[in-house]
Amino acid sequence: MEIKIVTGYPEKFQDASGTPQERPYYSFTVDGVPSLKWYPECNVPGLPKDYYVQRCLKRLQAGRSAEAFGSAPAVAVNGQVVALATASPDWSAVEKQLESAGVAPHLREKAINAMRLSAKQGRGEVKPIPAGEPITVIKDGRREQREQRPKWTFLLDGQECGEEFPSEQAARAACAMKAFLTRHKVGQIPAALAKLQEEFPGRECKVWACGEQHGICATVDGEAYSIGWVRVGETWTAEKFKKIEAGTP
Amino acid sequence: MASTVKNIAKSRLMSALMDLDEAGDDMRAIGCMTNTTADTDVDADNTGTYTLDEMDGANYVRKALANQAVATDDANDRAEFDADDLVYASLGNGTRQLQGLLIHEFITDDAGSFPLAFVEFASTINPGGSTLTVSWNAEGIVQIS
Repeated sequence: MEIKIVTGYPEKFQDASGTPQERPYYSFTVDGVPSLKWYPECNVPGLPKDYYVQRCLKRLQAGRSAEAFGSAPAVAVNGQVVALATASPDWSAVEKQLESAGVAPHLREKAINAMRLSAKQGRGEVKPIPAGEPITVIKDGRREQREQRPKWTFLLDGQECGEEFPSEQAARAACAMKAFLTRHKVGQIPAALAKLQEEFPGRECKVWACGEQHGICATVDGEAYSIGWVRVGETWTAEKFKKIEAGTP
Repeated sequence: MASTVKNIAKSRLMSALMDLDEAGDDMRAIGCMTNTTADTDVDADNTGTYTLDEMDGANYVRKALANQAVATDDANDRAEFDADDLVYASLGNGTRQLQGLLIHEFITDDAGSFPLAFVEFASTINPGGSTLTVSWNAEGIVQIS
């Protein structure tokens, strides 16, 4: 996974005296895909200009992600993490409770969405893969039994990632990054492209993350289309497309 | 309970009265133990209104947030407020367990200060004289979407 910090596109604004000013923003890309996350330049003396974006990246790489593990902060005592949000409420059980209380289906869905948003808890779960049988190695003519180290994997939304990691920390970092890249619009590009192609069969359709425009862009035969997004549960889906007429800013 | 963003903060942010940038307002964190009302009460208009049940363990102090920053997350359609992680050295146990932190806009005293949010830990904690580090989430302390 290649992560790069990119200097952003200057924001123009007027200061208190009305003088036009510009301030740069910083962002980062993952394997070339813009994260669409923008941080102001850091003007704190002694800190690098891209301090804020670096801080975000360090946290993601440390496996801390609201998308994957909820929004509660990690609390460490002497460096040992003792409280980390990993709980994943069983929403189907919550829905059954609401159902048995006589709440109408459309209100149940609303209530659960509201609870989900307020809890902001992720569905990431890091778990060990049981170590295999001890292996026998021959060293200096003697046989030795060596325990195999356990490996780690993660599930996101109940889906096995299918990869193995050498440590819990590595699995947590990968889960955080995966959630970050799939829990928002960037992760919906393939689905949006499929929907666009369905709507305009036989025409050349493109959907991509555009750093300059701070969003997901779409074209049909080279003509720009805007995407109407709707929130579905914890992610987004491209609902409709509209041609951007010439002259539209 | 869960983390909550206070209503007075929402209106102050809308009225451009609360500035979360580093050069903006002085945002501070108050440690609250389990008898606090700062977790559930979202209507309080100033910090003095709460029963804070403030942390009383040895070496506890209120802390100002360092390197505050507001980021734009276009992919998630939200803004995120962030700051450096907090470190409490040799923090003793309080009368009750530590439940979370109230973040407020500090102005002279509690009665004049405006609460922003209560950030709850995943579980309550007794630090036991150790170094307690509160590592904010990768996507910030508070989000507005």
